[in-house]
Amino acid sequence: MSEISLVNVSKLYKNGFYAVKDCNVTIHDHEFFMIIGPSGCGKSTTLRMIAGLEKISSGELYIDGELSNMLEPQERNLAMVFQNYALYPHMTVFDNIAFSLKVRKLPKEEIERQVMSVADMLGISALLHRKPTALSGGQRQRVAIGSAIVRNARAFLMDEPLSNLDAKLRAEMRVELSRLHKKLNATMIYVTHDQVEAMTLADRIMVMKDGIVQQVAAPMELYRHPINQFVAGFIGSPEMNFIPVKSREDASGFSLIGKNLKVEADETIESAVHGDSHNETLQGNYAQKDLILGVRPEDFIPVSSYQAADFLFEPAVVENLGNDYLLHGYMVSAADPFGISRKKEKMIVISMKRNDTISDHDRIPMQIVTEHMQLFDPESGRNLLYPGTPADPETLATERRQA
Amino acid sequence: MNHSSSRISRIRNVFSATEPYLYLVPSILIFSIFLFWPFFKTIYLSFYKTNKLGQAKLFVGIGNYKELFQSSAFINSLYVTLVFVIIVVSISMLLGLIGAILCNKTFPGIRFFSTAYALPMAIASSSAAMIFRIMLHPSIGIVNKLLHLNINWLADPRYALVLVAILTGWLNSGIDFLYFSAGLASIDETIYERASVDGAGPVRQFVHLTLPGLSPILFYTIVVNIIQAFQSFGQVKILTQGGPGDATNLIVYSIYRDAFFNYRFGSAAAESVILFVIIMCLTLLMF
Ligand SMILES: Nc1ncnc2c1ncn2[C@@H]1O[C@H](COP(=O)(O)OP(=O)(O)O)[C@@H](O)[C@H]1O
Ligand SMILES: [Mg+2]
Repeated sequence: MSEISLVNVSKLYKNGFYAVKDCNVTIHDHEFFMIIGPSGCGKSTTLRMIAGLEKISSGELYIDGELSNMLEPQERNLAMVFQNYALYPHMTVFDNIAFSLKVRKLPKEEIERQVMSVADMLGISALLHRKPTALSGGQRQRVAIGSAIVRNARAFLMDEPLSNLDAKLRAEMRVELSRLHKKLNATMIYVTHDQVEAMTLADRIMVMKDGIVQQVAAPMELYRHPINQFVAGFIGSPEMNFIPVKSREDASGFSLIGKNLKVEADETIESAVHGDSHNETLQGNYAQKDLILGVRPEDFIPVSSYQAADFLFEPAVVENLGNDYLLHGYMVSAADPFGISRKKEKMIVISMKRNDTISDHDRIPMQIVTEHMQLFDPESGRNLLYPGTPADPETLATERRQA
Repeated sequence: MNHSSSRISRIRNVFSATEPYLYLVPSILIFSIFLFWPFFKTIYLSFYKTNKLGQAKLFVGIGNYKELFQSSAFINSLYVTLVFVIIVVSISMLLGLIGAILCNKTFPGIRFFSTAYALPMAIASSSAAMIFRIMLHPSIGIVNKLLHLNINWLADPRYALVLVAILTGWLNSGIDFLYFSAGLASIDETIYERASVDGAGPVRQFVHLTLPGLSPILFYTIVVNIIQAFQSFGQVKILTQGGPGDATNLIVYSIYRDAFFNYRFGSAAAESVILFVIIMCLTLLMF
């Protein structure tokens, strides 16, 4: 049983810089919890405060309900994998893994048994007598993970453990970590800047930016219901398309109008724009104001007729990824399919399956999947269609999980 | 035309073959005059009896060496030197190590402390010895004042050697501080963080991380310290002149006495050679 709670935790450096500000989150027992965000957003700082390597400037840290701000790292019984692995350079792999057990004065045979079993699990049994310098990056990484999991720690903290590996190895280790988490059934707090890692491994993800927690939610929750434009852009690859639009109401109904785009909008969107949505904090009238429409690359459907199209797509670059391919190109107004006056805007990205049928015109009629659209306030960046109260993403996530 | 160009190219070849050696000439010259020549001259002299001007007069073979090993004064010198070196090396390395460890963390005022620990390096041994002598002065010295004692420290054979060794140890600790600071800086900080998360306290961290991390530099430092300790001279000359009795008559001081007071240059040369052999053996043994 181990539950780690941060209550209003902040880290203020001496130069007056808040590396982490008012972080509130509870990491549950057995959870694979990810902290994600761009470089310098305070992920490592948060993890290091949990580990006790960094003093908490204000707020409280509870480990299993016990206030732990003042506990030394030695007293917290956590295990950590460092970004640079931090292997003891003059010790063999065996001694590296055995170190935390030796510190705890376990009997020799017991230590040997546990090290062997961990080495076996990670496939490094043959390396036990080598020094770290004689290991490859992937092997070092395994030793670092082995050193952490050999002990029955309350939680495993990992700071970008895969960031120094090449892409192939990283993909392999991702699978292995997932397997390991299931097997150990342990609480893991994992820091990464790689959203693929986060999406594939996490039970829940905490997105940070400039030291401030943006959203805490399950991966698909984040993906489908980002709280703001930052989260929407950070999660998902290729990035969500952001298209400037305005709302318009006329005889044909309520719609979103971009330079070269017209999307019929449903009631949810209409009420969000008019500010009478159920969501109080988002209230405000956005009619006539500039908005940003967010559409994920896979949320476009090629259609056969110009009439049904929201816009025409003119591909400029095709990236073939094997089963999928990515089309980079421009939007052209569907009302003016042959127009020469089209204004080129930022390119958008559309992802297609291999077997999607597309007309072989230069310009492909496209529809947007309205159900997955997001609508952002360009000033605050907040998502008008976010279904919860932004102030309390925790409860929202919980509610959703129970639903 | 053809002829002259081949001549030029030949000259060029000769030049490019000799060029590297030309660059070595100045340093070889300096080494020869100030190092090799005196060194071989010393070995040469050690086989002779000399006149008062230090000119070789009578070849005695290994006679000078024989005499030395039969003289109780020289054996005493060897013994005193051994004790002295052990004390000096222990003190200087310990001081340097402690200072370096204390200054390895940044804290307000670290510059002051770093400077303070490295300072002995910048103090001439003779001026330090002068200050030390005043401090140890039986009637006006601060040591006696503070301890409410009345001991003539430097005149007492029980204390003299130890005190000279302490001073020397402190003087040599500055350079050790630098070596150890460099050594500590080369140890990856995060292994300490990992160790503390792993549950290891400061003592275990020191034993399992710091010492092994310092071991390459530790070794080098020991060698340098031993050599340096063997060659201490200024502080002995100023504090005790080898006395009381022969209590602080280190080999280097005994060489100086033999040569410039007793005018036995041959014997002094033989002592020098012995000192050289001892240091060389120790160094080789260590490497
Ligand atoms: N000792 C320090 N003093 C001031 N700022 C610091 C210090 N250490 C880290 N920072 C800043 O804190 C921010 C967060 O750092 P970190 O948690 O390491 O980011 P990351 O999310 O990349 O792991 C960074 O902008 C970094 O520059
Ligand atoms: Mg980091």
